[in-house]
Formats: sequence, structure tokens, C-alpha cells
Amino acid sequence: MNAKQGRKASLLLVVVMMVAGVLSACSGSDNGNKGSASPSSSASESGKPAGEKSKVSVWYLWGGAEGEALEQIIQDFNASQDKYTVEGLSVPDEQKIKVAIAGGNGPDLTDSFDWVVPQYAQQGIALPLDDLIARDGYDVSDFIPAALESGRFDDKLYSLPLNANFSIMYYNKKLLADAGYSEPPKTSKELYDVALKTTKVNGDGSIEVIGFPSYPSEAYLFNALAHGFGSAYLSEGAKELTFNNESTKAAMQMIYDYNTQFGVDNIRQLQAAGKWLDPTDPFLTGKQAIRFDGPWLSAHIKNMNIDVDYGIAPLPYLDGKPETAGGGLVSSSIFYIAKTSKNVDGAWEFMKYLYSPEPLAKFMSLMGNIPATKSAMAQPAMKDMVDSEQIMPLTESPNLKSIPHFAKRSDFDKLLGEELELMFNLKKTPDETMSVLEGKLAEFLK
Amino acid sequence: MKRATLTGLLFSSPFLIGFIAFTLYPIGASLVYSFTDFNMFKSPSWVGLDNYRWVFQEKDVWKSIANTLYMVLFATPISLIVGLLLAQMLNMKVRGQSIYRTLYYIPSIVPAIATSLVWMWVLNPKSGLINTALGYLGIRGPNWLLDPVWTKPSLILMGAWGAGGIMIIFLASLQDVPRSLYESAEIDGAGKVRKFLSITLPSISPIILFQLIMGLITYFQYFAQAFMLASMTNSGANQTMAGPEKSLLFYAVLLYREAFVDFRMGHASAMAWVLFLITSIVTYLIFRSSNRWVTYGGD
Repeated sequence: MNAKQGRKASLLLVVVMMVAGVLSACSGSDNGNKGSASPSSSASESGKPAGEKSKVSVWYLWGGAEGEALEQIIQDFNASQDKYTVEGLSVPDEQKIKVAIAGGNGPDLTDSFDWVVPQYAQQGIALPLDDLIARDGYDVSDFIPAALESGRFDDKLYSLPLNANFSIMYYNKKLLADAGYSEPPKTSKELYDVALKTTKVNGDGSIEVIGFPSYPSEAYLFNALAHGFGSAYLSEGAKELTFNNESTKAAMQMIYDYNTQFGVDNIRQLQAAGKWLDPTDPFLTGKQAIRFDGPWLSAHIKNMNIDVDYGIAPLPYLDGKPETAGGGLVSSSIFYIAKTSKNVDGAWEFMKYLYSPEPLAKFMSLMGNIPATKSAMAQPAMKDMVDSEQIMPLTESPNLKSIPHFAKRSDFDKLLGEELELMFNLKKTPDETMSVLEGKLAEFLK
Repeated sequence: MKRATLTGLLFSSPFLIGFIAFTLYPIGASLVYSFTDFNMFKSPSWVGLDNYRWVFQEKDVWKSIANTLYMVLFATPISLIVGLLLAQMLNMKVRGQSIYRTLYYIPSIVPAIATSLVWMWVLNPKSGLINTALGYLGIRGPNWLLDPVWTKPSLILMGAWGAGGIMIIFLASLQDVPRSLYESAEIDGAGKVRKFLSITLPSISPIILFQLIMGLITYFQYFAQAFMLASMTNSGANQTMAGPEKSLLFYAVLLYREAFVDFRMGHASAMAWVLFLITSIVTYLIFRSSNRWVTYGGD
């Protein structure tokens, strides 16, 4: 072999090896997880010497103060009994948790959000809880019905809700007063007026103070805005698409108009300037007049000792439709037992403890969340939640809704996000976007 | 079997076992999975060519191919040119040259994730280094990582900054060019540009071929930086990992999303094999063309 061929051959070999990398990186590992379908089949306690506690591993997405709050509950549980030792671990990457569960070396119990339930049920990530509930005669009537239902898919209950999350309106009292408002906006029209009057623009068009709740992003805002205006995307039981209604359209038009007036580039620049719930967050630096966010914002403001004079109010309703006041979209954080859990009984035991009134109230008040059980809501600990006297009454509104589950929920959300993004960036008008969405979203319900 | 053969195999067994268990077997497995519907939880079921059909029909796959080709076509040559220019500069006889060489090489040993985090700050449209500098010149810089037009140029910029690996190989090859060639060219009155075009480039052309192919493969499989930038947004993790208007949805990112977000291992495996074919074909074509522009000196 001459030198030329030799060099070529060795180069070719290197190339083949490198390309092989991508192929080997993406083949799954089939380690034959059949999953333990029935709770009694978990062999956790068998073979353990008497007196030794069995381990339960709990992974959670929270970090920081919220993670510490859960660790407190875990410590309380470990001290309360001598059968199990719960080991908590903060894993803020949901992909990692899913892959670990698939590989059979994930947690026994972990958390997520209710909208993943259809996907996790179909993919076989989460274990149905019905047998455990029936075995122990566990009473689920304490849960807020809508929140409990968010764990159900195909007549099986896969998760229990921790909280009832919905956006409320935060407003900066000083910025509103400077613009001549003594009251927060109550209707869509008032909201837009306040937004226009409180937005302050620099000479080059960049935004100094944002009056509209576009921060942290329009994607974060949209569902709250539309549901606040009284929209419902689907009929009950996800039978029909009801997305195309005047409330959804008003929400789309309002964001489109604001972005047209102040410029997408300027809004993006402002969104990039600060980090959500961080001391650089524009609402916390006094540079955002109106913000739609969850009650946790109050807890963050207090925990970080931020000096901002704010008020809390229900989301504005669609002008001329006061009967829809107090509306909003409710979702929940959930806990579910992994299908590949090696200690289902231990996970369930901890779950029952976590959802009992005192621990749940303690956990939720530390996080600044509204608990999903009536008994926890009534606990004295909830009075310690920051701004609880303003936030708790808002939970009673009959106009709070949740999106009913259906099999293709994740595809639905993905498409909705993609199409709306084009409209937020002014690449499509609200009318064009609506006609595309109406056709395509209906496909996912079939 | 001869004793010598056995001894040889035994000595190479750590590699062989590792290669078979962690490379050959997974490659074989991915080929099998590419013909199945498999989500890691339920056992795979045979679906024939459905996954390959999906690859060619799915809109997002085509979008990701377009994004990936953009990087292959622009980022590869730019990083080669930057690497070569840097090598050329670091090959000059200047006081403290070894310090410069170290400085320019450092970025390429920083892990991709750390690089991405640093650049997220550098490219911040309001407080970032670049836009602040542009601001002093009276120019309002773009929204680098948030504007679909600017996301990929941002990545190319990041790639050029990390061209140290390419630079160091070029530097070694530049020092390998026989001095006698330059000396005789100087006697014939050749200038700097002439010497570069007629002596330097042909002399290092085998290295250019090597770097070109490595660069193409790197950008065909482009993942870490894009994944970081697209999934870390100001309002928390983003599950679509696609960036503004899907401008950062590269082939390998979509492959990852299919595999580990949506658990469609069949789709992901089929995508991997299609990428393998595309990369192989492009590599083959470049090899074919290399007869015309690569010169092997020496013998």
C-alpha cells in the first residue's frame, strides 16, 4: 500500500468511527422492564432483615427554597415512622427522570405537571394508583374535584394533584399611580389602556418599562389571558374544539396589537434582559406594570426581600362580559409513582403522608401554592402563605377552568405553541392563525 | 489458533469488548429498532418501513435538515478559514508566541455547555458584551439568540471562537511545509500571497481534506450548543427545544427530542440511519473530488 492510500484508509477509518457515534448514542436500551403492574408484586420488604428500613427514592424538579420545603416534609416523614426511609434528590431535568425510569434505575416517586398525564399513561411511565387506593380505602373526596380529575386518563388515576395553579394579576402600584390609575384594570379594555399608558419607550425604541404582561413571554401569557377573558379551548370531555371564540380571538388580537405598536425586537430585548423570578425579573426591578403569574411570585418577592409595591387582583375579563369575571386556567403539579418503581408500597406510604392535611399545608405554604385538598386549605399553616388573604378568595371563582385530557394533548400543545409564535412575531395575522389552528387542532381530538 | 494471535487478541480485548458492547451492539440494536415501534417501556413491535416513511414525510424533519445544511454549508468553511488564519498568525515569529498559542487554544478545551452559557451572556441583547460594544459605536445590535434570523449566525460565531482544535492541527501542518520551497519561490520573486496560494495551500491540502470531513461530520451532528440555547429560556425549560420559530431545530436535536422527550425510539433510530447514509454519501463525494485538489507530497 502506498502512502497516499494508507493515509486515505486511516482517514476513512476515523470517519466511520465518528459517524458510528451518532448511531450508538441513540439506540435505546431494552432492559426488559415489564413494570410491576400490581402493587402487591413489589418485593421491597421481602428479604429485608427485621428492623431495617426500606428505601424510597423521591426525585423532584424543584430546587432552591422549594426543594428545601419538600426536604422538610421528607424529614418529617422519616421521623414519623420506622418502616421506610425516603431519600430526596433534586433533579431539575424531566428528560433525565423519564430516561432513568425507563432504564429501571429511576425514582420510586416523582413530580410533574398534570398535562403530561395522557402521555405518561400511554407511554407506561406512570403506575395507575387505583389498586392502591382500593386496597387501602384511601379517601380521594378531600381533593378539589377538577384537580383530582387532572390525574385521570382512560378511567384510571395516574397521579394526585399537589396544588391548584392559576395565574393572577400582579400590578405595580407606583407605575399605575404615575400613569393616573388608582385601581387595577378590571376589563380587557382597561387592561390595554393601562398597558399603553404605562409602557415607557427610550429614544431608540427600546422599552424601559413594559406595561403589558408580555414578560416572561407571550407563550407564558397567552393561556392565562385567553382563559381570563372567558375562553375554553375544548368542550367538556374534550369532545369538541371550541377554541375559536371571541375570548380567544380578543387575546390573540391584543398581543398582536401590542407587539405591532411597540415592536417585536424591542419586546424580545426586554424579555432577554432579566431572568424569570430572579432579582433581575422586570416586575421585581419595578420595570413591569402588569404581570400575570402564579401566587408563587408573592413568595419569591418576600424570600428575596425585594422592595416593590404591588397589588393582586383577578385577571381582567372580556369587556362587556362581567359574568366571566374571575376566570382562569387551572393546572396542577402532580406526584406519580414510576412504573418501574422497586418500592411501590413505600412510595405510596410517603404519598399518603405528603397529601395528609398538615404536611401538604406546610409544603404548599412554603412554596406559595394553593393546596389541592380542602382539608389542607383549611389548615392554620396556610395563613402563613404570603398574601394568602388576597389569593385564597380567588380560588373560589366558578369561572376557573382546566383543559380536559385527551390522548394527543402534547401534540396539540406543540402545534398551538408553534402557530401562536408566528403570530406573536407578526409573521401571521390573528385571522390567519385562527384559521390554521381551527383546522389542525381539531385533528388531534379524533 | 496461533499463540501469537491469541496473545494479540488478549491484549486488544479491552478495546474489543468495549467496542462490541458499547458500539457494535447498540448500532445493531438501533438498526433493528428502526423497523419497530418502541418506547423503552413497552416491548417493540415490528412496523416495517413506517419509521423511514415518517422521516421523509414529517415537516419538522425537513425543517431540521434545512437548518442543519445551513450550518454545514456556512459554519464548516468559516471555522476552517478562521482556524487557518489563526494558525497562519500563530506561525509567525513574534515574541511571546507560545502565550498567544495557548490563549487561542483555550476556548476549544472549554466544554460545550460552559461555552454556551458564556455566550448566552455575551450575546444578551441588552446587557451582553457584543451589543454593549456595538452600542458605543452607535449601533443597536440584533437580538442574537431570540431572532430567528440571527440564531444560526450566533452559533457560527460561537463555533469560530472555538476553532482552536482546527487551528492547532493547521499549525502543526504549516510547520511541516518544507522551508526550501519558500526559499526557492522567494528567489523567483514570489510575494506573500503567491507563496500562500502556490506553496502553503497545496502542501497542507491533505490536512484541509481531513479537517473538512471532520467539520462536516461535526456540523451534521450539531447538537450540544443548539440544545442548550433552545432549551434554556428565561422562563424556564422549553420542551420543544426548537428555538425561535424552530430556527435551532437541528437534525440531531430533533432526533434527541423524538428519542428522549417523546420516546419514539423507532423514529429516532430511523433518523440516525438516514443521517448515517447522508454523511457517508457526502464523505464519499468529497473523497472522490479530493483527487483533483489534494496533493500528497513526500513520495
